[in-house]
Amino acid sequence: MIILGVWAAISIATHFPFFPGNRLIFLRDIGVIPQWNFFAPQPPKGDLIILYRDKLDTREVSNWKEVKTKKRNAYWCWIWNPQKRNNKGILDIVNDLIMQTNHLRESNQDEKVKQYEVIQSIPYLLILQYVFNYPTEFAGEQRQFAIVLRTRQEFSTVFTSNFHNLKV
Amino acid sequence: MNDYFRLAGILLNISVLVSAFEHILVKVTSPDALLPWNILQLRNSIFIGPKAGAHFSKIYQHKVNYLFYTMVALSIAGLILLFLPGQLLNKNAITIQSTFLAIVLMLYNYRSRYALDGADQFNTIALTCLCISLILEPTTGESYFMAFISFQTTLSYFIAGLFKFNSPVWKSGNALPDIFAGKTYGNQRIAGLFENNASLAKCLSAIVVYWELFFPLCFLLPAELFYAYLLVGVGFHVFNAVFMGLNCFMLSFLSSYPAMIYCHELLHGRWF
Repeated sequence: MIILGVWAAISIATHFPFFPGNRLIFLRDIGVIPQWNFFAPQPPKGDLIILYRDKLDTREVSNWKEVKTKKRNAYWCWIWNPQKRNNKGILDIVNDLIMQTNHLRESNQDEKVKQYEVIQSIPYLLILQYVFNYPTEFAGEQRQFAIVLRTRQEFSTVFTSNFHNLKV
Repeated sequence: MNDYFRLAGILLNISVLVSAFEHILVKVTSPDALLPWNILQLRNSIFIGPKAGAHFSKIYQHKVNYLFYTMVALSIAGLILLFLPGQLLNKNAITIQSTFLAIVLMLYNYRSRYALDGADQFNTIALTCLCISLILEPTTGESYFMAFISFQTTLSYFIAGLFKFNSPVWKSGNALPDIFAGKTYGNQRIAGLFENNASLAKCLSAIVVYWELFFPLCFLLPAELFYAYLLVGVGFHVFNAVFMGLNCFMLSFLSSYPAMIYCHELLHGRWF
């Protein structure tokens, strides 16, 4: 079974930096090339929380509100835990946004171009659309989101978006 | 087909079934949820092209995502097939079922890389391997399948152990308290326990790292010690499911345990 042998060899090699993984990006996207380094080298540290606030037409700004995530059921989560999909999704998207932002920060591009690229990125747009789904209480005209890291030791802002028009 | 194969297949199909029902309930892919297709399709120009884009949109953008209902139907079909008594068990039917289920899982993975976990990876790899093995080797395909999923599980533990072994956070013993303090995988009682007892956290971290790292060597152990080593693995997955909510991770990875027992028997029966 040559196919399984080659597949096994790729599964090992893909975990090492010398492997040209970008050539097999399609196979990774469909899920047949594994990434088995669970919770390592950097395990998730605390919670990444999404907050949003609205700017009113009077230019006043509302208080920050947290995008609430549902807690899993302590008694049934060993067999039935649908909330993990949403929570893991938020974790992945926010991590991706932070990674892309850090990557751009290190590049030599113009600041305006960097900002444009962040705003056009998929994780930014996903979070923006997600927070836009929450109703506005004070007839807000524009909305802004922020990402806050809450760990055992600290509470820090890791990302703040621009204000975006709520009405098209 | 032997009982090890049946058990592996049953656990694998249950994992896919649970995962699909969870998706149907939380609707994370619907247009007003976290992962709407109208944004995800922007990542690649082929999704918004006139021809291919239209086909992808047909698959992915429905409010009711038919991929999950197909997963449910196919995994139930797989369970029915695997519960049939020996003489009624049809290998061709299992080949067809696993092929379609593998394709559906690949299509789902391709939609977005967000909100996927180790169980999704494992299910896709295992079912793809099952259909390839049964198509190319109709008589001995199930043995190839069991060897390959045993290899993937062994590799996953070893790689996870290796990365943890080289990680300063894991070495310091802060990894477990950090994980359990969070909402996504956390548990307040366990977090409190680690908060008051740093040496317990450090000790448990070391056990996890070394157990994972030395997993490939367990195939060399005699049967009793090998079963004891696997029993620690069962405890590890049950703990992850109960206290971290990793339910499908438990079902998927435990599906390879019957396969590993089969491989151990084969290895020791022939070579030792």
